[in-house]
Amino acid sequence: MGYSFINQEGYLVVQLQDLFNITQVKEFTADLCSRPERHLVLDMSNLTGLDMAALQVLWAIRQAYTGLEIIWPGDRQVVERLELLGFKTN
Amino acid sequence: MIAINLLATFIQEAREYLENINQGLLYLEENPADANMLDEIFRVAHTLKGSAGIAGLTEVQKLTHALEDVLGALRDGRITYDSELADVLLNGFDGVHELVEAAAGGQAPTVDYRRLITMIEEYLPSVSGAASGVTHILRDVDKDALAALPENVRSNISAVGGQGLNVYQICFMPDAGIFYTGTDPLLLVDELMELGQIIYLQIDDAGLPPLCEMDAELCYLGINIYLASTAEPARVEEVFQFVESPENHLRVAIVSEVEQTPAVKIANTLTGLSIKERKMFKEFLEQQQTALAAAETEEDREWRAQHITKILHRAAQNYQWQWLIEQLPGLPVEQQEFQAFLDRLVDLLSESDEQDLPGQETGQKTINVDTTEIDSTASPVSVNEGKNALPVPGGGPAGGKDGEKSWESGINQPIKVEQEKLDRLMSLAGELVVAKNALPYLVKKLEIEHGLVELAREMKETYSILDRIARDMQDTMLDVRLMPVSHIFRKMPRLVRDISRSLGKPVRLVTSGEETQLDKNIIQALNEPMVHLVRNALDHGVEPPEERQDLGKPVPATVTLRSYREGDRVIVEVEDDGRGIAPDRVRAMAVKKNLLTPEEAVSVSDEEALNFIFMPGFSTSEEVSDLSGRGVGMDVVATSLRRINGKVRVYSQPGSGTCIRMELPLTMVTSKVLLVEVSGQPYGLPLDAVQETVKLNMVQIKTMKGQPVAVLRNELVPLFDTGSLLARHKIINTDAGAGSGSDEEIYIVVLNTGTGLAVHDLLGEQDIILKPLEGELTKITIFAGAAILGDGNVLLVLNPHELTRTGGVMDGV
Repeated sequence: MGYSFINQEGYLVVQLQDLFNITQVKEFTADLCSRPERHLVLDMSNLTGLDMAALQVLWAIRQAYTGLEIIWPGDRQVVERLELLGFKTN
Repeated sequence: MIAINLLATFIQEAREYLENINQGLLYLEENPADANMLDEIFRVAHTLKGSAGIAGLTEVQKLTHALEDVLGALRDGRITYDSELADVLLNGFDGVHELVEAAAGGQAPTVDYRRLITMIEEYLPSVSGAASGVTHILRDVDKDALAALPENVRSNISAVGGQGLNVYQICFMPDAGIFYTGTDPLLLVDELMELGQIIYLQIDDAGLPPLCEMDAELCYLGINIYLASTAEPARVEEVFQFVESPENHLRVAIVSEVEQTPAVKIANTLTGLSIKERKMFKEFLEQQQTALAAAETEEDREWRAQHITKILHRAAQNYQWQWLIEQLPGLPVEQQEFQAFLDRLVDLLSESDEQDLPGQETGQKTINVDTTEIDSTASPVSVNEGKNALPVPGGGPAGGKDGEKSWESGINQPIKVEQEKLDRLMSLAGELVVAKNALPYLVKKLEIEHGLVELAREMKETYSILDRIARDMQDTMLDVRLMPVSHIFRKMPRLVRDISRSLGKPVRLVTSGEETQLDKNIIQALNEPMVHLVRNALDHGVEPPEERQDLGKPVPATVTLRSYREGDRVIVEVEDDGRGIAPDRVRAMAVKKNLLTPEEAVSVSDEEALNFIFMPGFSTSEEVSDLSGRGVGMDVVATSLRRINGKVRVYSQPGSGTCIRMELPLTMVTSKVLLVEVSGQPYGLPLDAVQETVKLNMVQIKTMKGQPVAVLRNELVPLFDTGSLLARHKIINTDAGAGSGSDEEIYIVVLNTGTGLAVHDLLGEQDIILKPLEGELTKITIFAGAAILGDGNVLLVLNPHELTRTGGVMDGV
């Protein structure tokens, strides 16, 4: 449950797992902003749910990192939710 | 840094928007049936709200949003515009103005925007509820938001509407602290989904700060939803019952109709453009069509198409023309497809021109298209430089015709420049004018000290060229800084309206000469005096309506603001047709305040007596009101005008009215001074205070009641010894000189007040940049300021009015 950061060849891979919500967002953004990497891979493959607070963090990440790579959730419901909320999954 | 720039840009724009709204609302009060003006106000308010969100000023956004609701209800005819509603809107936008100014000053806002929103909301439901008979939060549709939707979404909404379903437009902008209440707005979305089908959901991220600046526990996002449902409005609103509060902004509306005609669609889509700008846009596109058709090679065609697309794309993004963004084909583009697209766009613009949507003509928004990413070096055609410039693919033979305005030229003309930069540039131009004055000193030095006559001659020629360029530059800069007096005049209708209402005195405001131009700094300095004068005119000048009727004078009274150029000065007048000022009352008050002896009071003319009203603490008004009558207003006017080298006079006819005449210089940056020598030291005297200079023999100076005087053309001129006033050597020797038969010669500078200053010598005229004295020195009022001369020495510039009034250097220290 939560999130983790991994540096892979200069890229920062951010893994969001299980439920990502208001309880983690503050710490998460502080951690992320302290990281030096400027290229990000957002791995949501294990994400099972999110709330509005988490959504706006994702929104801000998308604005902050150009060339952001996204690995979409495996959970179909979460994908649909992200699509409804304006994230294009292609 | 970006955030600061964004805020600064917003504040600059917001001030303009608010001024336009203010004027529009006042106009609407006189012309409530003018739907075009209402549309225009709504459009500006909508833009203001959006920009506030982008700048992160959520209070401004929320307050404007509430005001927009009222404007929307007004536009839908659910309420009518009357004085009460005008007060609500004017006060509301005043609140927005205060919030903006607080943000500009980096201060916490003093206005309670939540209270204002509540007041606005209280006004609105009582009307909307009565009109719609549904509930109190059902609002009018945000037509602009609807128009900005993708075409397919609007088609869906139309189709669903045709099936008998209600289509709800739901805009929910939660309070920043909503997460702390345990509410997840996404759960509300889930609940709405249970009521029907969400046709479209859009996250409003306008208020979202950069990732590392955000407090992730605060909510910055809004949600706009289009819901198709059979549910009644009350059921939809029930979803939000637990978040209903002034802090959580909710708008629920039923979309009854989706505007589909191409002309209206394009008009709504190209928001931000006036009709004129739209026509210029069309002309620009037509030029591109011609340029494309004239392209000789495939490469040239492709290059032109790509550039046109880039320009359109950037403009569309800049203005958030969603429809255009979606219509623009990707790059590279096929020739035929692109040509067809351009044709379609031109057709749509032609249709919208035929619609001739009035009211948009007043839009003065400056188009600002950033083309910095466009590579001009790769282009075979000309490129206008600068951030606001657009490359002109049709700039070659097939492009715009010479002398004709094109769309891109129209958008290149006005640019916004920070005032500080302009001031700095003007100051530098002024310094250049002064710096070049060092050259004549050097020329003289070369000639006299070094005997280099030829070199001195060459330097003199160079000086002439430099002098011309420096003056041209200064004139151009001055021209850039000139602003029409309308910048002040247009604030007055609101002031007159409010005072007129509070005093119960109907007043008609007439203005003329608003186009007269003045330096920006003078315009700013004139603001406060104008407010004082207009207040005074209404408070003391204009009689109550009953009194006017008894006197056979028209009701409403008339207050006229007039401006015109007179030589190198600008005259601004404030005139009323009220009761006027009785010179005898002024005389009596002047005697009472020991400004005149009873004998002097009898001898001064009516005109001179009237001008005592500008003395400190002088007031003939017997009662102190909230507006004026404290005896400070007219003094403030005179002092403010003196600071900008202006003058003020009053002309009045008892029973007929009063006219206050202000005489102003065109610019304050450089001043011309007369250089005089007093005891070996040069001083400056503002040239516009000087009437003439005369050389007198000491025998021509007489003494009258202990005061030296000279007789010039049979007129007595009281003289002041500048040497004595400055605590230096006496110039007029009253012990052995005046009237003593001495043949010593001195110079008299006759001021336009009719008095003379005795000086040792006249050194000529010079342009200077007058800098005000700072710190403790500001208390020495006999000096208007200081300047650096061409030879590097400091020149003290005298304030002749204060020098003769106070009689010496120590006054005020």
